[in-house]
Amino acid sequence: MKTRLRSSRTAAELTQSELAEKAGVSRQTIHAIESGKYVPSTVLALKFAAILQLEISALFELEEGDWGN
Amino acid sequence: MKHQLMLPAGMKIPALLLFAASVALFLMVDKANFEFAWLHVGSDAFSNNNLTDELALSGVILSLLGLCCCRERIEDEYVRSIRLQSWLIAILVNYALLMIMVWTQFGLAFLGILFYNVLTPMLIYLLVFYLRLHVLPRFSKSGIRA
Repeated sequence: MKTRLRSSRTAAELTQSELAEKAGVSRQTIHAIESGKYVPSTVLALKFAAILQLEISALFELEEGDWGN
Repeated sequence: MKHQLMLPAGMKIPALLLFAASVALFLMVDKANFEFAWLHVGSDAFSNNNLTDELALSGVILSLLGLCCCRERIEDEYVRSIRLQSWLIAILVNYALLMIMVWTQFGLAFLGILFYNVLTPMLIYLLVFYLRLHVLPRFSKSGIRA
């Protein structure tokens, strides 16, 4: 899954720690999501969208490989 | 792992202290034949025993279990996923090593390995979990920022 969390976070002038605190997760979690190592749950993705005041599709996007079995 | 089954994050330090004390006691028993006189039980040839080594091993097992079952300060979905993956890696590595030992070590040497095998799943789990959660992200290209 393609993520634009890092660019959206920096555009909102938030550090990883600040976003983590607002979403109630650890800094490691933000780092793992931004570097594409972890795909967040729907609840967490919706939290990020609400905090950054964006549509969820502006933060996360399916890639071609996500459709494979 | 369900939160109800886990210890608070603050229990890590007592568990670490117990682990250090138990390992020290175990080494003293193993290398210097140290025994607490008050832990002597039995009087005949069959039941005569000193329980110092049992106390040391129980301390090591309990402290490792405590460390394995301590929550992180923020126990979120990513930490839980790392925890689960680390248990899986620990079990696979542990039994792969055990299979190698089955075919290469025999007799008393194998019994000695089985003794340490009681502890290795927890030790491998702790190593993998803390490496993946705290150490490896620091060496990644993007890194963790404040």
